[in-house]
Amino acid sequence: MDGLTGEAGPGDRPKPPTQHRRPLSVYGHGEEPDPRFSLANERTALAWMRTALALVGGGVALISVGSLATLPKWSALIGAAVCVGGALLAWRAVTGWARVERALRHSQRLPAPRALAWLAGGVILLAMLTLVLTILQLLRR
Amino acid sequence: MTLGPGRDGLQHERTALAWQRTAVTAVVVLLPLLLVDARLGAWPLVVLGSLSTLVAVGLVGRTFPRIRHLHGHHGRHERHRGLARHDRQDRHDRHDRHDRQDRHDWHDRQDQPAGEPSSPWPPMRAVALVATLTTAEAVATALTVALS
Repeated sequence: MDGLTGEAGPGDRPKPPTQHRRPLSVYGHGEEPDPRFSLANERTALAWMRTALALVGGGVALISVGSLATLPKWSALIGAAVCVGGALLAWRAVTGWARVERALRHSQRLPAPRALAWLAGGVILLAMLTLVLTILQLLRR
Repeated sequence: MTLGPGRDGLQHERTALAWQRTAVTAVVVLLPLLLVDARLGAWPLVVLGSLSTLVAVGLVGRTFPRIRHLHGHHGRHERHRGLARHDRQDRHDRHDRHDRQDRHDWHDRQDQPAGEPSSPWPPMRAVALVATLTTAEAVATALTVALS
């Protein structure tokens, strides 16, 4: 209930599950949450998606620079690994959106953003690998 | 917490802008690979990349209904506010009426038999598929570079 007008607010009226929207695994259960929360969840998933696309873009840039300049060939393989990580993260964004939306519809606690730790770990691992390979390359000269 | 109806429009606009940024990024990210493949002379990869770009444009096109849907809600709020601004005689009455209308819109949005465009699932899956296509092309190019 809105305290100012006394009218019902957007989140006050429970809604039956919507049967028309896909996927039914998300929209087929629970009650319609406050649209603001759904839209915020959607924007968070899109931010993850753009992070994934940025990873793919970084990998593409590494492959491109590696082929145009005279960089060692392993740089292209590192770029490919970054791209694979980006693709995995993109699908993780989709499933993460569904998990959070389901939790919102059931008024449950939101799942922890575990992908963040995986992303940080992956980036650190690839950075370390690149550093080690660069040092080895320099020592060989 | 209940926000004023005017702020509701910003939520939709912000989400629509997020979709636009994501769609543009998804299309642009594949293009450098085409140049690299052409320079390497890997014509099968150029053909594959061109097809992937066309598919990517088609898939990203699936985000437009979602953006239109979000802008549609925003536009409705803008119209209500615009009417209230132009009619200064009974501004307060109108404001109250539009305020109530906006509150009904909140509920209409949830009651409507929302078809596919109102769910972010299909376009989100499409963008993830574009990322996968780009990755496949990138891996093929990287192997060509590494083995050449």
